[in-house]
Amino acid sequence: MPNILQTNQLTKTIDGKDLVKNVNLHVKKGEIYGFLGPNGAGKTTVMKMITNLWKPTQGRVELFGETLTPTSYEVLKRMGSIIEFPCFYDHLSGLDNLKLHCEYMGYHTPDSPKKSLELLGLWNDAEKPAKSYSLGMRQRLGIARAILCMPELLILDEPTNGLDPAGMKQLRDLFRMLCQEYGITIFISSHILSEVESIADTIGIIHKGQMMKEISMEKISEMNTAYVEAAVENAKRAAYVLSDKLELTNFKIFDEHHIRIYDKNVNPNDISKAFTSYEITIQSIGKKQESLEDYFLKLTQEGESC
Amino acid sequence: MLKLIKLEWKKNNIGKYIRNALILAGCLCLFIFALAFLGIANDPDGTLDAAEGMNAISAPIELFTSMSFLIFTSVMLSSFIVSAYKNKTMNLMFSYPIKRQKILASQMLAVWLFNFAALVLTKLAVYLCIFAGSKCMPSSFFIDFNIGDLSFYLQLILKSGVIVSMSFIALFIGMIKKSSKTTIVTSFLLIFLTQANVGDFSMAGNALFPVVLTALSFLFAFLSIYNAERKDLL
Repeated sequence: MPNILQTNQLTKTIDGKDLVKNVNLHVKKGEIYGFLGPNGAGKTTVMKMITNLWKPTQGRVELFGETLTPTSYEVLKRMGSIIEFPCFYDHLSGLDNLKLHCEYMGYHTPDSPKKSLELLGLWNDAEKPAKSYSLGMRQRLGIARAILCMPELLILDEPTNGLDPAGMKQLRDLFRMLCQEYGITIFISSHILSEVESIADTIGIIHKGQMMKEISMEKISEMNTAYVEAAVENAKRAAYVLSDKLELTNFKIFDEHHIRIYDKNVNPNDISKAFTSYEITIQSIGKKQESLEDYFLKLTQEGESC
Repeated sequence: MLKLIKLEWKKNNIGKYIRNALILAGCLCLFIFALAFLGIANDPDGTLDAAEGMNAISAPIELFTSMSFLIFTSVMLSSFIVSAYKNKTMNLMFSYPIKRQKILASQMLAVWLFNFAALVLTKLAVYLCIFAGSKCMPSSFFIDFNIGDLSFYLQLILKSGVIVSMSFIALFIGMIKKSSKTTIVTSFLLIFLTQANVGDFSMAGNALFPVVLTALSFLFAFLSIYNAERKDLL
């Protein structure tokens, strides 16, 4: 599948400080791409460059097969976005805000504001001024505006901020529906990993301005997903046994008492036996499945130690 | 462009500004009428208390209308443009498939056209009030205009254009500082620069000054938008 969005060695430097450096990401047409990273990792910076609000210091953004330049206006017609937080003309109603958006986008489908508001469950509040909307309603109105002109690519920066669990689920279902029924590609950042995990096809992890990994969710479930976690009295001694006696290398000490062994072929019984024979007290041991959160933490902690 | 200007008026609630401009025009009419016919600018002995060369009625009319509308224009510019940067609605504007320079130019023009029309109409209303009053009451000021003369209208339009354009200088400085207050304070300083007098010296009477000022205003307007396409929206 062709890439609808990709960045090549994307770098942004402000006042001599690299906010993001050499970021390469590839978003395929029709997929949901989860863009993950801790606060301050550079997610919004990348999104601002993709939407042309900021210009790259180095590298380039390619959208719909064309390199983005300061005067690329036509591609903006094919995109919908929310960067940071949605802002509105507060004295205008939700409906009027959307109508205004249509005018500026040159999109003249009279019933699209209504359809969009209905999809986000805001039709009953359509005539109320935007300033009377709650945080969650503003977030939903922002998404209604982003999808209003049925864009090919949706760029959403933490769109679930301020939403309650029901609202989050509604959005998850909406994103899936937009992707499946309308073929809209969604590039979404979130700090709630479980949110992304349940909808994303591919994830990209950014940490301290650098792209750590770009991987499909399918691959995450195939690779190192299962591991053995042991709670022991002395994790350092346990690590010594694993490396010197069992000749295992793929493990990680989490704290004084917890150790994780990622080796695919390892059996918890063998480890248990080895620990017992070297008089290492075991509190618990068992096989576990790695969630996206674990994978994310592993990568970002590796980045931390680098 | 006309469509963009109309959209600017719509989204910035132009009705509110029309109401305020009408109130301002009404206040100016009343105040200048009182200056001319009710003797509020007179000394207790009944003689006019005005600086030399300021005893003609056009002087206070030009001073007060220009002063008021220069501030009014700066307030509108800061609300249409400077605040849009601050409250991030400019992020939204720059996500539209429209040249950024065109967006900014439409915002500036929307304010300019409104205030130019408002200033011309306000001045006309004030002059007409004074003209009507002078037919039945003695004026403290010397009546130095002729509403039947074409050059009167021409001057009125040109002077209004110069004054409203001057606010672009204030806008430029306000945009650098990203501050509405700076925009409005700068417009105050511009009034002092153009209307105040030091001893007998005042820039207000200088013929070359308005030309230089207008050129400067348009230069600042250009500077406010020329790099919009390449600049980061911080």
